[in-house]
Order: sequence, then structure tokens, then C-alpha cells
Amino acid sequence: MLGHLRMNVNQAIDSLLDVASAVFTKDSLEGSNPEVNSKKLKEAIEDMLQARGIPLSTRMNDPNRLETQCKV
Amino acid sequence: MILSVLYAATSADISHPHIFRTYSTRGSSLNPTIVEAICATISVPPQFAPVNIGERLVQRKFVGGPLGANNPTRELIREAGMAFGSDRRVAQIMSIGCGVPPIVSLDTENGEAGMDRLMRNTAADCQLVARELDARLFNIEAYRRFNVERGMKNMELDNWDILGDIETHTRSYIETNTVTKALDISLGYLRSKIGTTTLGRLSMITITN
Repeated sequence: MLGHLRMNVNQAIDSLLDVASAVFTKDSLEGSNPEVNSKKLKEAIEDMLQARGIPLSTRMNDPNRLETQCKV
Repeated sequence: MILSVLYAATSADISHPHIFRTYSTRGSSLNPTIVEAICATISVPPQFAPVNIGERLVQRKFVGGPLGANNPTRELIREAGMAFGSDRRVAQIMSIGCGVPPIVSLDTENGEAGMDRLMRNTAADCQLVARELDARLFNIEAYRRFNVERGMKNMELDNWDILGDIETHTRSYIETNTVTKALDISLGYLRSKIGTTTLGRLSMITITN
């Protein structure tokens, strides 16, 4: 989050809480269904990228995101 | 330059960490999307289904929480050595734990829900690596581990949203004299970016038996 998605600390904390709130609900902790949990997780991560303006098809090692490798 | 890595495991071999990189190395072929890689690292069974990555015929299933790499400090040292060369000096490796776990005994394991047991096992796995590294790196200033010592033992998985308690325990840990001092020194190294130890020496100390 800090490195590749270029968030600052507060953005990273907020995003983590958003993902956790979406995925770890009372329902998912009791009598859970892995397929449903995985779907919720994927949607939460997609929301996080979209909020950062990063296309969902972006790969981990993506030449179009070269600027992220030269931050320091 | 910032290099990021995420660790997952193939469901075929949960003890071997697989690295998803944001940079190229010799021999690394799988290049998942960011969404796939993040989902894979989080998808710890049985709570989540494995994540399929790769073209149809060579597709592999990935799960989170590779055994022994929940605390990937040794993997990090090895990876940094490959990426930057073993002569590169390290200013600071800051390892942050999520609270010292209780000692795992058969008694406490009985009657715990699956996820709580899983969480404790993961924390215990991290702590095992941390203890070994503490022993090997006790006089190496380039490495420092921070981990809240008191209060976090009784956290259950569905307590994750009681952030006030977590913050209280963390604050009292940081405010102890030794930790405050250690943090100041550690941040000093990070700011000055002056390394005292090479990656080669770190990997020799941590990886060889």
C-alpha cells in the first residue's frame, strides 16, 4: 500500500479498515462460506484500487507504472 | 527506488513462499494483476477460496499465510541481496509484529474456533522466526523488531474492530523507556540512510545454520 499503491500512512490505515470492514463481518466469521468471502475480498480490493485511480488490469510488474519504482 | 513484494503460497505446497514482485528478476514468470496478488496473500484457507493465477493451462492456485514466511524477514534479506547486490549496506530493517502471542499449548487449542486457532498459529509462526532472528542479530544495529508485549494475547479474531484497546496497548508499549529509545535510534538510521551492515553479512548470519 505504501510502496506500490503510493499511499501515505493515513490512507493506508483507512484503506485497510475499509477492506477489513467489508470482509470480516459477523456473518463471515460465523458459519463462513469461502467462495462468498473471496468474492467480498476481491470487490473490496478492486474498490481500493479504483479509489486510487489505478486500472484493475494493472499488473504487479507493469511498465506503465514505472513512476512507482522511482519514488525515492 | 522502491521495490515491493507480496508473499503467497501455492496450495500444492504451503511451506514454500512464492514471491510476487513489482520488478523483474531472472526466472520470475508469473506476473499477476495487483488485485490477484493482494487477494492471494490474504486468502488464508479455510476462510477464503484459493486464487487462480496464470493462463488457463499453466494456472496455479494460491493461498495466503505460507508456513514459516508469515514473518518474511529472512526472505526479505535474501531477496534484497538478489535485487541490490550483497555489498549494499542496510540502514535499517524494521520488523513490526502484531502483538506477542500466548504460548501455544494443547489445552488452549482445545475448544477454540478454527479461525482463532489459525490466527494464533500464524502469530506463533511469526514469533518463532522473530525469536530466532533476535538471537542471531542481537548485536546488529541494522535490524530492530518492535512487537507489543502486553495486552494483545487475549485478542480474538472478531475483536479486530476494537481498535481503541489495540491502540492503548500499543501506546503503553511505545512509551516504555527502552522502546522509546530504540524507536528514536531506529528512525535515526532510516532518516540518515547510512548503512552499517551489508546485505551479504546479514544473509550469512540469518540464513546459514
